[in-house]
Amino acid sequence: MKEVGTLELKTGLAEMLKGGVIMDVVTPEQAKIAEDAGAAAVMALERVPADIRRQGGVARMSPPELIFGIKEAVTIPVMAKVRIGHFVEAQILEAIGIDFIDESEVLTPADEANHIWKHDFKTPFVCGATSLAEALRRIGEGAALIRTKGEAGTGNVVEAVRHMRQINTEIAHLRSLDHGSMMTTAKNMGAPVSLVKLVAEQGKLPVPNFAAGGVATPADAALMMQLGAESVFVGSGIFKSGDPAKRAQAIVKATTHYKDPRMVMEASRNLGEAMVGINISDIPEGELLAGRGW
Amino acid sequence: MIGILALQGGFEAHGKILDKLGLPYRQVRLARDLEGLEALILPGGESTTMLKLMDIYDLFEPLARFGASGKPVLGTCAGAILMSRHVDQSGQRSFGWLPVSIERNAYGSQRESFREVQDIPAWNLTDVPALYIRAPRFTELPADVTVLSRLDGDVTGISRHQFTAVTYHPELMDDVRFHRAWYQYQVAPLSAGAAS
Repeated sequence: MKEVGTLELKTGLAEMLKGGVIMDVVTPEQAKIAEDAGAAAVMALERVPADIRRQGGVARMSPPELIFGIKEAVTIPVMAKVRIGHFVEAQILEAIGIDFIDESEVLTPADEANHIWKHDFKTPFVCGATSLAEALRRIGEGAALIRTKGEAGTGNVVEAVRHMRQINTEIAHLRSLDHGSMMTTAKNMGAPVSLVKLVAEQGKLPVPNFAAGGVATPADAALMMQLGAESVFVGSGIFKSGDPAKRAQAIVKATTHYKDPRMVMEASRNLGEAMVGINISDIPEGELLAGRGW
Repeated sequence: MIGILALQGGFEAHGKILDKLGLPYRQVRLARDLEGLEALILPGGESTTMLKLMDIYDLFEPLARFGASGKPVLGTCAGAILMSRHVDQSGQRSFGWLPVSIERNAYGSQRESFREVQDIPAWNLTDVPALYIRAPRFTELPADVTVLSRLDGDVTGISRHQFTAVTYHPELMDDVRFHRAWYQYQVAPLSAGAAS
């Protein structure tokens, strides 16, 4: 009997994106540039995070016509973002036939208490996390892929590094505990005990773990890969730089060959201007995106 | 030593299965990684992305030579696309080792991806679980291709000489029988021949 929409199939697509780069694109033309540069998938959105940050206002799911345009422009998988908790935007994306839905803190949250119950969908979801507990809550709701939140639209990788290290440290700690303490640990973490136990046994998340939020250079991408990310999302870093096509390909190169400093060095040469970065301490607390969701 | 093309995609999953079978392997990202390999796996992922990366890393010609050298190659999903002679109507480039036509994303987008079990009589396997993820479909097959597996009306797995291609993902399951049989039927006989 054919089974569809299972977690196995959802994480299966995430497996096929490993070692690749997923690029934020706003138009079909950008999607084409991303595909030509070697992107493994593109993320369709209305405005890149740097513009959302600058322009303010409520950031929502992209209009369907824009997503259809991007789907027509490329053959690689197309992802799109919905607001945290906005399950109707997710229903619309599923009706479009999008390949992956990002329930994203980059958009303005639609529900401050609940994330989407993602088991209700056949389409896989990716969600951001700043800690292991948060990652496991999202997986508990049905996420098939976790990414660091980082701090999107800053061109500053520091928060993505913090979140990746946080998750790695917590996993290492879990491994050191005996199984008798799993329920208390789960209670203190605020995460499902079955998943806590699974991570303690396997030493890794039960779904792939990618990096996102502030990646702007090939070196940033290779850094996240060396810290344990299995792929990299790049948002504003490409189309807010001086030469997007060249930078996109360079980030792809550094992601494939992240263990090879010579290749990362070659990829880093003559890229023109990187996007202007923002120091996290210069951002007013209320404007930090990583604090959205729980 | 088996090579797994590791530009992007399901390379890790294949590695895990080979680990379970105790078969040594190496990830292939540059031409020099192909040296001394007895067989090669082209994993799933995005065939267009992989082709772009092969160009960027000067890997297309070395891989084409590897396939032509007579050593066994297994392609799953995107790997099967790379091995087929005709891709879509688009004329997407490929190694063309198998004289067949293949259609990309033939079953639709991720929403239509599915799991199914199937038999591979030529390898004495029954009920092998497999995932079809944005899977391709063989559209034209000449008579001299060995059919390995079928699903409803479609041929989903084929072999011809040293080449094996399936449109699904046997590597995403805990089941190691597919890879063990591939090694037993396709790799070991040729390796033994080379050694003697």
